[in-house]
Amino acid sequence: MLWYKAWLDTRWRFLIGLALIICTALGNALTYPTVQGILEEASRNGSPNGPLASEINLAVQLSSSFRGYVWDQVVHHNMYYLWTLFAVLLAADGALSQRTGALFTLSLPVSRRRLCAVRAAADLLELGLLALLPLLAVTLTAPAVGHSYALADALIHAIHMLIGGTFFYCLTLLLAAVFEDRWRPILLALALAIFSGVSTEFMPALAAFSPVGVMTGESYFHTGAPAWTGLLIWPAVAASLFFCAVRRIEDRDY
Amino acid sequence: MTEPIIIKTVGLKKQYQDVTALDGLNLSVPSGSIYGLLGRNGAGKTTAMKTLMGLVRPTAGTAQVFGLAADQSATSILIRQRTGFVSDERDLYESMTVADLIAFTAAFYPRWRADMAARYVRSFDLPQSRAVKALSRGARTKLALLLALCRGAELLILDEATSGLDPVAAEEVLQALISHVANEGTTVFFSSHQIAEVEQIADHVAIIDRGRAVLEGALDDLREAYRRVELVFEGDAPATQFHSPGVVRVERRGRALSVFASSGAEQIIEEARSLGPVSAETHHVTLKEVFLELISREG
Repeated sequence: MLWYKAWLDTRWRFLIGLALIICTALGNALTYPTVQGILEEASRNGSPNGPLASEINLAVQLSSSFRGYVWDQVVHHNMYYLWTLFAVLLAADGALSQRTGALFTLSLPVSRRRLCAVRAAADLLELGLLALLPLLAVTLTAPAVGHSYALADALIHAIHMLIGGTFFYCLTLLLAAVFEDRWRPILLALALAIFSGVSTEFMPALAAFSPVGVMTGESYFHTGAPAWTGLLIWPAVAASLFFCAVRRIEDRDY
Repeated sequence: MTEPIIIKTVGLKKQYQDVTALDGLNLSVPSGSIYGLLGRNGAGKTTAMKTLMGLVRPTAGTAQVFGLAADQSATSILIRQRTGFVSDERDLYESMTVADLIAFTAAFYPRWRADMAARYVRSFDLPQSRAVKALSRGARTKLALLLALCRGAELLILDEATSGLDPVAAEEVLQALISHVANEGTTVFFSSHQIAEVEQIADHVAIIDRGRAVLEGALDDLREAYRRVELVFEGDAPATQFHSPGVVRVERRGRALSVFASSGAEQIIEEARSLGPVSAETHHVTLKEVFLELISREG
């Protein structure tokens, strides 16, 4: 029944997020032939100059294959930001939703630890679907534009997104347990996510030290090997944050 | 033979930064009683109840329910298995329907009384398919009460159960409560600032002010013990002090001297004879008078 309650609390955010991320991913994938044409035309007109030259050249290079294009446009850019946004929004209520019914929930014969665990598990299940279903949609629709996208790529990138992204989810949970209002946790977590995304864009070496590198599955894309170190470190960091959030909720007065 | 105690708080304190919500609260709620907790807004009633339910951690002192510590996570779950709670906020799940919320709550209580729930749905006229967020204040209160009553609880903790209800709805809720207690033998610990309501259903009462119990006992005993002694003199009433035990307050009004006492009215009259009153009468007092005297004295 706690699972049902968690679903009722989060369903609209989940469904809106799912629709938005799938539409964005499909929009990217299905416009590949057009974008590819534009980029080829641009590269025939000579190499671009200026501060964004390396970015453009990289985009051209990645877009030479559908796999590279999907990774760059869908996984590395749109999904990272949109998925993180919805991870933060799902966590912003706190592990124990305080908007309505908190006193009723706490009067049930259930420990706060279990309440937090069920809510987090339900959220992470939804976040797993938010990571997987858009990439599966790309796999299914890729033949429509004359290409293919491997199911294994979809699955492995979704796993990277979910495991790396648990950091932002658990960070927001902790912030929600510390602050009374809803907005500070959201703003602080999103600010960190944007800073991480932008900084690794311009200084790719930083990706190894941030969850962004794991979430975007950069290592897997380039070398075919999962980012094992990051896949171990960031969930451990996330688990520590979750533990702190639960302890804070257990000690809190309602 | 003394009745077993279901709720016991000893020196219970709760400090919120610079606000003292409970300041050494001592209460003993006997099993099977209907125990009314009276106090002004902000007196500490809600904090006391939340502490018993494990929603608030006490700063000092002890709170026990069924002999179990209310501030320990593991024992608090055991307390909540045997207790129905209605908070003053009635913060139920807005997105569920009445039927969903009843089914949801039933899942946590093995002793859930489905027959009783169906009966209360009918008698409270609750629309099962309506979302909780669309219910009136009265219907929300009735639903919250249904959810507390039907879990087979041995103890009901009700925080301002009738606040915000019109007189008809309030009476309906009180009658449901009285009949439930009569049939099931449940102990009820309820807070209110409606003195008439407490007098109507409670058999034990405590008056709480600034986080401390200033009075506690069986309502009949209190009614029996508290008296107002009215003394009338030929001229102006003398400014005097009474030494008899039980004197709570002495008030001079022209020729009259009014002595409010928690006990020993006969002894007060005996002491007053030396002052030469032309008349001396003893009056019973209402709970409202007791409440106002004690609270104004504390104030």
